[in-house]
Amino acid sequence: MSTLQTVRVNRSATCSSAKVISKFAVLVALIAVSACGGATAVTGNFPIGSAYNVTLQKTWSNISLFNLNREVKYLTIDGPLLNNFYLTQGLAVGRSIVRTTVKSRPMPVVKRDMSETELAEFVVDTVAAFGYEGAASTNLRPAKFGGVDGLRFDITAKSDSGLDILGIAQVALVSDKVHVMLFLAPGEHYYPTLLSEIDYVFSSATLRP
Amino acid sequence: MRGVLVQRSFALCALALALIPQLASAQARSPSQRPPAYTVEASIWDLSDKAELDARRAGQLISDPALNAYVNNVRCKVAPEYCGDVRVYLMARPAFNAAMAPNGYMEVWSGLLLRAENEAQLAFVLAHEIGHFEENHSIEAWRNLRSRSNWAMGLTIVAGAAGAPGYVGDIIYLGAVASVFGFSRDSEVQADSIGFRRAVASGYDPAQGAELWRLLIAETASSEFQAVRRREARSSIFNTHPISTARAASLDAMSQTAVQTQLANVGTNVSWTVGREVHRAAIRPYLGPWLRDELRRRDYGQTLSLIKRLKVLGTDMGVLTFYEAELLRLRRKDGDLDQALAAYQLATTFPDAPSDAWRELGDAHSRSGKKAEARAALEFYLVKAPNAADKALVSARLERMRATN
Repeated sequence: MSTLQTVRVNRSATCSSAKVISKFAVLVALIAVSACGGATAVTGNFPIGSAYNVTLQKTWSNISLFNLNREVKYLTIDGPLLNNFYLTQGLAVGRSIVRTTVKSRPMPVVKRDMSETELAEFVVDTVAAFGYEGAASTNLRPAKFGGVDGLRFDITAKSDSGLDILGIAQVALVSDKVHVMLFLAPGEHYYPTLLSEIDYVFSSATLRP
Repeated sequence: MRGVLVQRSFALCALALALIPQLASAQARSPSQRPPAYTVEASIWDLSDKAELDARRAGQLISDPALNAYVNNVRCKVAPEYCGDVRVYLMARPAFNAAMAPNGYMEVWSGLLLRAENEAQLAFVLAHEIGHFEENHSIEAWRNLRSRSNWAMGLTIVAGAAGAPGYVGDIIYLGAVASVFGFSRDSEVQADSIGFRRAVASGYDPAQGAELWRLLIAETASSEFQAVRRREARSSIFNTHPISTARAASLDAMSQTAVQTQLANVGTNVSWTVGREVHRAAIRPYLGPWLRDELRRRDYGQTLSLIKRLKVLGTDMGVLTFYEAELLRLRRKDGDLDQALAAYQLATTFPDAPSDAWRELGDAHSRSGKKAEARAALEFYLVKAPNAADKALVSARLERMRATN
């Protein structure tokens, strides 16, 4: 786009910038994964901080080291461009799934007195903040999260280049903290391939005392 | 001694840049003109063709025929001779922006369509972009960059050979970079002038060009973020565009001249096109989704300013009041949740209120402890939206509410 003349390039282009940052983050993560061996293989019982445990049937790469937010476990199998699995360990009011250092580009945060609709909105707005277009939730339904009342919903979005992205999330508010499990992948092949694994992981969540 | 050296260095830099041959005014493009093959311009067109291909499959592309027809109709009105040369791609991006590539590929962002109050303001922006196309500004900018970087390199070598201190090279480089940005600002001023001439010649109200910039200045001043508010107030040699106040002043001056000329030629029976209702009708189906995108920027000050401005027309009050309530709910400053409840209540009194307004009204009542009102609103939500994406969730919630009553 460098050949374009713009009427106003000095206004914030939030989405484009987020995408650039997202792509840059993915690139850095990939380089770091290949160069430093910072990713670790994880399978079986997997603790999400002190909040809950899940069971992974498949072997995932734990690339949480490359996520700015220490409250989020970040997993992938085929790489961040092909599947992303975020598991938060209980976000308090004011906390977000994705961090930013740019004040004028704040990320969605947990708010006080969130309704079920707002919990879903928090996740979908986060997906939009990742740089995906037209992020929306569908098929919102009640679901147990480690035995407590929560909700599950599907997500549709598009990548910058027009690729269909599908997602599924399970969310619950436990002791005023938001637990999120969020899976995103291209709709073609990668999402359906891992859906049964994700369903198993969601069902396996066990809250820690 | 050091002061003298710095003074001489600045003088040398200024002299050097003054000696750089100023590019002659580019020849205006003829309709259907393409660059000869195997030229630099042809390669820049190839790059633009690739960018256009990306735009065609972009996730943000708005392909709605009605909205595209509206924008293209205005575009062809302000530049009939280039009607077949320019292709507009509407993008769902929540920022005020439009862009023009030398091959005729133009992008117009939804944030611009949402902020333009009328067809005349849209016409000014489209004509401005056509101005870049007509004057080949992208190509000229590239030539300018190449020319100045070559001269800067040559001067740096000469300065080094003459024994000038090392920082003289830095000053020459800085001057060259600043002059490139200066060229960009000059191009913008020229495009503003061309845009104004074309829009007014097409019958659009001359005052709307400056008015658009004033609205944008006011919106920027309402930003939550100091960095955004300061952006408009700072002039810098590294700005690619003139600051908005300067553009508004310049367009105001042009407007006064145009009105006086028209009065002298036609008398008092001057009729200009503004097109408020036409523009709103074109963007009406997108008000909701685009305002949702704006809320996702989380600059609530700017978005509130925008919503209040959109409400001035007095139409779409259900949608606009609902999104004002949504903003207050999301912002959650002291008193916002109470104001949001009142706004949701107000929104539901308008026939165009989205069904989500009843769900949010139910949640707002629930937060304030009004269980019966909350239940009634949620029940009505399911009547209004029987196939809602969250039907199962809301139904389960109603079951719990009924069980506890």
